[in-house]
Amino acid sequence: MSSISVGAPARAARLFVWDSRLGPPTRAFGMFRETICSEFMPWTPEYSGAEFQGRVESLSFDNGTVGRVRMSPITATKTKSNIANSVFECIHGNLIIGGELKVEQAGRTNIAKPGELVLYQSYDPVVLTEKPDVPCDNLAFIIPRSVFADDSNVDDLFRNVVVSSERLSGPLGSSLNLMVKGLLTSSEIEISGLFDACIALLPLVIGTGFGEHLESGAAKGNRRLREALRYIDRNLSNPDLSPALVAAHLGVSVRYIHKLFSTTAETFGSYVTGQRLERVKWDLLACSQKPPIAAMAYRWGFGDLSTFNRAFKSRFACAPSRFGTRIDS
Amino acid sequence: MIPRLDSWGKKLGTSANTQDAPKTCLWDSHYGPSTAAFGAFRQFICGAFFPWSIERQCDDAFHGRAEGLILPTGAIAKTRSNPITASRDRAELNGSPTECIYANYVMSGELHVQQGQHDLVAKRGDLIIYESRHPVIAKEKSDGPFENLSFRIDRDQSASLEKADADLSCALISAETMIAPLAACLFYLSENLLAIPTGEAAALFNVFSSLLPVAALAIAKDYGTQPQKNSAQRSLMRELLEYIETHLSDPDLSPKSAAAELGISLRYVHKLFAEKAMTFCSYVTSKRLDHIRRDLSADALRNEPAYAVAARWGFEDPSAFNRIFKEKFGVTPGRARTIDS
Repeated sequence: MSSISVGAPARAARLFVWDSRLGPPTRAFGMFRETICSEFMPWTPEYSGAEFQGRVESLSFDNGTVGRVRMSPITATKTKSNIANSVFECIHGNLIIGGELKVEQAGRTNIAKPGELVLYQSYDPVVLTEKPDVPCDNLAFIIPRSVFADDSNVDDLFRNVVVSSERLSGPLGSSLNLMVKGLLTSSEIEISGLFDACIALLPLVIGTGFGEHLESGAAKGNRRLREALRYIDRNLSNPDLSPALVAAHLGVSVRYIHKLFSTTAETFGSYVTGQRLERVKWDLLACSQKPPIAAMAYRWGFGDLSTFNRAFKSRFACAPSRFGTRIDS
Repeated sequence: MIPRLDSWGKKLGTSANTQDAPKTCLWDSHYGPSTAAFGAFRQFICGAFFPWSIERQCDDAFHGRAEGLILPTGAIAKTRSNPITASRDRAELNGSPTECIYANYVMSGELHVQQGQHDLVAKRGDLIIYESRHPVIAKEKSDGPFENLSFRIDRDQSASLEKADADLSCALISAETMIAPLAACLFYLSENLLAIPTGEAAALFNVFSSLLPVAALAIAKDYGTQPQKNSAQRSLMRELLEYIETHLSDPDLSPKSAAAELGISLRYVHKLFAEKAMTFCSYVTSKRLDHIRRDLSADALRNEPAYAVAARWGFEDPSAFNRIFKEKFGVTPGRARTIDS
């Protein structure tokens, strides 16, 4: 069916494996402190339990490191002096697979449970406490802060935040899960591609309101509602588009249509108006030879111009006639 | 799914480099005389996707709409129109400023793509990829309007493709074999391209081009080439393989533990493997050997004897381990270590 050949990556990723079972048990924690904590930048770890066990497998790329960390629960602190000795600043993330991770940073305490993702910064003091008596198992990643240089909000975005498992059912969540499954068995190209995707997705999922739709909308959504939205999408230019028309098309009652919309944040009317306005906006911005505004309003099913003007203004806080100019200036 | 208010204007305004800002483009047959619609459509396609020769399949009035986003490293467009036949021959190939990868995500109708020896058909939910270096014919088939999301990814500009150095030639990534993050990303883009801020659409384009090589590799190694009996069995096999993957380092991993985990009979576990012409035991051994080979070349384990690494993955007898390692890889563990490092 297909022929795909993939050569060696331009620059090979670096594989790192550490396993406490490959050394004397008594030295395990000491080894962990010396190798891992220097590998993953200065930390001050403490362990008070019985025999320490752990395994770390990680892959490093130009734009960060991703690894699977399994170990006896510890407490790790990043002190001011650790920070002063760090070579670069980065964003840490842990997708919890087993156990729990408490993160204290920026005056907040978060507890991440299995299925949740927690993010924090390396350049602000932080205390990590893994739930005692349960083996801690997580997918950990480190991304240099400079990777997000384009995003001016980076310092606010990733300062001790937890992403719930419900918000990880879209592309970010499934990319993370594929990394968990394939970290050692998939090729470096695959892990690297998934890692790049995560880097692009993190600011979207955490930074913007629409992240919630991105991560939950695609996976969930009632099939009937999707059918209704699809029909609406095809018929936006029809000025007679109404709940009754959609109900007739789906073979359900008008009441049922309203019920479908009650599961969303909008009503039938506000949704249709919103969709129509988005299209007018696109047309205003994208047409090289702008048609008259009245023609656009008519094309998208607005019956009268004053209703259109009012709706446009309330959505975009700007009159349609001035919309394009504001962008250009 | 339902778009919300956005701050598009503000976002574009704050963009430091206006040259890199995504540019929107549009074709809509409603906004002009119907006689000019097809010509304008051609212009739209060639503007976003480099030269194509485009023919319509019948003389009916041509109508539809296409919304496009031109990005620094490629383009995305959502198109809905009468079915067309599009092709690129020598003249069009030579007229393209840069090499790229094309991809179409079919939303309604069917897309037939012929390139080299490949002759592929994409249905709703499938993604088809092909490249700019060779002649291609893409024929849309649909009773109603044909609808799809089209992508152009410039090879030399796309870090993910460059890094992968991937030769993504003509391939079909069907809805069933598509990795979950790519499916979610495409579905979201197909529903929301219009409503999300262009900066975010551009970020999703990067997600798409990062995941494309991953998805292509996933179908290439899709657990054997035999067609599956049914999807239920297929997903069961997938669950079984996932269970094994996550329990490889567990010495108690056995057909019995897998059967208990999945709630199926021991017999069925063996049957699933038999249909792939494998056995449970040979599969697990082979996977463990893969792990060992990777561990052997890890810096931190450089000085560990090979048998100690093997013991950690459940191989108790060093001489037996050496023998099966050599059987699988054709070299001894020690030699593999030298080759890999």
